[in-house]
Amino acid sequence: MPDRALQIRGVRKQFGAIVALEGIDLDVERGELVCLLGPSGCGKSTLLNAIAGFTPPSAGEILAFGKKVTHPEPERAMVFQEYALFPWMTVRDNVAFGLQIRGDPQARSKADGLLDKLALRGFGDRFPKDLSGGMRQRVALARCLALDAPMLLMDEPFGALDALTRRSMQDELLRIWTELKQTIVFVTHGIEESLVLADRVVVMTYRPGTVKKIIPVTLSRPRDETAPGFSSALRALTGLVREEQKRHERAEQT
Amino acid sequence: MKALRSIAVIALALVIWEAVCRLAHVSPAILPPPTRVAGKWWEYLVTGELPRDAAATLLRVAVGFLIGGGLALPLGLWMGARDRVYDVFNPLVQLLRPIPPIAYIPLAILWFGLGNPPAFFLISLGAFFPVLMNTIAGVRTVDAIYVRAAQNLGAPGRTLFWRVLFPAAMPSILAGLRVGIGVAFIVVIVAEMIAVNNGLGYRILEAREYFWSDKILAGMITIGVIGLAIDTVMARINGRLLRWHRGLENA
Repeated sequence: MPDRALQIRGVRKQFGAIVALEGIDLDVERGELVCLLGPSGCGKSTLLNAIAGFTPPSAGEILAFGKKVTHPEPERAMVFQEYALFPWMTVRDNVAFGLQIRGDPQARSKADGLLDKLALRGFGDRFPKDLSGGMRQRVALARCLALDAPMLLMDEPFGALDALTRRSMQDELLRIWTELKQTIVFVTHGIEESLVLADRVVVMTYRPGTVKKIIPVTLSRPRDETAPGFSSALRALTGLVREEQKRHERAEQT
Repeated sequence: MKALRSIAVIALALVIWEAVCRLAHVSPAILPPPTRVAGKWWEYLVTGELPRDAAATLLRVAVGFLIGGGLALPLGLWMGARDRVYDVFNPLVQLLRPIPPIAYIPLAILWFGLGNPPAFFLISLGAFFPVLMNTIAGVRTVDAIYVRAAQNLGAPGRTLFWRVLFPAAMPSILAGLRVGIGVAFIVVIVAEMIAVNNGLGYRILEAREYFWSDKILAGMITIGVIGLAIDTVMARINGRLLRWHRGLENA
């Protein structure tokens, strides 16, 4: 049996006196779409950065496909909330960059293929500044997809988009995921978003960040937000997140 | 329309200048009227003296700027990219930076005598620090998210430097080059007043000895026009290289 996509064991992360993560244990199966959900300050982005290999945990370990995570690698491709496109490269060069690093001679034509697929045909020669937020995030997604990464790490990728654009980006992501079946770890503070996307929702506690509860989402896909099952799941999940939000607000008042 | 207005303002200033000279009977040795300055400028031009002076000045600026900027750019990139290197060199840089290039004139003459070498030395100094400081700042303030994104895509150190840090620092580097060439142009005029016997700076000082105020002004205006031309070219280059930059949407 192949190794799980992620095995997170006893991960703790401390920044000075602040314990951001404590005792995180989490397994993610290959091809699974897991959302990390919680109020800001719950350490969900910290956990994602640790999985990416940007900031190593203070204690515990993270295995990706059975291999210990020590540094960032293209097999765990990150989509940032702020897009992090290179503004000095054209859209095409942004997407081709990872392939060029690998020495792929067809980097540019492959990049064009991905741009077509993500409805960005004709924008290859533009610079990121000319694009809308939704288009930029599609470029960022294309940049990760170019590497055929078996795992996508997404840090509130649609957080800065307006509601309608966010909805279509979620559909886009699900379409890609259905086709390619990557493992996806998706950080969000959107309760509905997590229910639209996830196989399982990992609800995290506010400071120190721990796993409060893991909720499997059994609703059939494509998910219908107006279905009664969706609303009851939403209500249950909202209750859990609210508890942590209240702890967050109390902590900020003291 | 905008160009027309600019021309109108300049023309108006010239008319007022001319009128003041004529109506107040100002001595031409103190302030010659613009018509006289223009006449002198033409004479200065057709005798070939002005083109030779301008060429000598521009050559000094070019050589000094290439030496100063050429040393500052790699050092700045190195100091910006490596904290250890920055820590080693920064105290020295901070100590030397506030000394104006003009203060080096006595040393420059002691070390290099007269002629072009001390001028090159002073101009390089003038260009060196603006380029150095801006390059260091440019590299050090590159947003960490670009570095993370590049590492995540598997970029090795060399790729990270040339395709991420360097272009990300480019707006700041170009700003430094633009300031550096501006300072070089200031320093060349001073250096020519001290160390050499041609060039625009030398010529206006020489004209003073003979009370040729019209020639002084003709030289000054030439300096102004050349300075403006250099800066315009630099601005064009900036706009071209920074097409991607958000601050230059219409460049």
